[in-house]
Amino acid sequence: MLLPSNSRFEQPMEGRELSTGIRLGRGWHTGDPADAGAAWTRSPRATLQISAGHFPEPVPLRLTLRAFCASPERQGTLRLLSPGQPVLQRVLTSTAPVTLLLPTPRHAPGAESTALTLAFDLFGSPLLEGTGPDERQLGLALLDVTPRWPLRRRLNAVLSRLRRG
Amino acid sequence: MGRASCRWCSSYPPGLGLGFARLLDPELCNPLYLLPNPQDWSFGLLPQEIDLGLAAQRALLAPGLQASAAWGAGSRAPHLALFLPILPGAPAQRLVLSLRPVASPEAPSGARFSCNGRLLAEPRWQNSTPVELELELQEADLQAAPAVLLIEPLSPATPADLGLGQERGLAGLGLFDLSLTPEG
Repeated sequence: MLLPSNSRFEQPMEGRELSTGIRLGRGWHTGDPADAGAAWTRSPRATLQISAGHFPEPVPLRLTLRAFCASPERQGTLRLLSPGQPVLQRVLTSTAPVTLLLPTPRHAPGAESTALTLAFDLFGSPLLEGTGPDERQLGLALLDVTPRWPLRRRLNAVLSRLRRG
Repeated sequence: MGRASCRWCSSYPPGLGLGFARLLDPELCNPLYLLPNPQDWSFGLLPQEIDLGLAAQRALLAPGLQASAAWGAGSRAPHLALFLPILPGAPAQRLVLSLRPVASPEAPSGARFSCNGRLLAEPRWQNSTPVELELELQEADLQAAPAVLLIEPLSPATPADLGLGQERGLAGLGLFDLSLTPEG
């Protein structure tokens, strides 16, 4: 009998690595040269895959995000869902970058990675808004993601760099 | 099956045992024989995620669809067929489909979604903002192999027809990705 071992789809979608142990997951546009390194959401829910190997315990994560088209008249509600942590919610009323801090997920036993979800359903298209030829619908740009490693781990990294130097 | 009678078994008390088994035709007796790339099909016990923007995954599940970054995968055909990579006998699944409608307030649209003949949903759209559609697949929907999700757009308009862009290769909607999660 031909029996499947593990279907190739039984892995979370994983894209570009943004920082050690943090990858783009589902719901992101593939990079466009015009994006200048930022990742734009293409779906009302997008995920980041957080590696359990690199983040076995929750550590604070700093995310810098920007809405494509939020304004006081056209507000967008952003919800960040990190499993095992309280939901973080913000109303975005402008396209200025916002920085949010939330803990990385608590992993289920045996999980290789866990999805952190960004839910945001306000989209705009540069073409339809008359700001450029890009006909994609853009939701939220992820400009930066930085984990705050525990102090002991940061000290060890500094010490090992000093020793190597 | 019959009573085992061999020198290794003679010390065991009499009973029912498997004496001999043979597959008569290892290909035609195999329910996976007709499926393309059967090694990629799942028992449906673990969550699955499929990116239809990737040519290799699209070729397996939705042959014939073309994709663009702005609109996802689609075609101008009146029906789109997506093979769901699930073996017969899988448990009920929650299917989440991420898509972009080809619609505007002046030209609303919609689509019919069915799985192996059962109508699941018939959403309508007034604009081209991306949406997520959540569909419940019952165990009975997944008994025939392969399970096929049939999508029938209600409008033949392309993005170019509605002034939403340059794209002329797809009508009704474009598909970005989908996930399947076992229920319960």
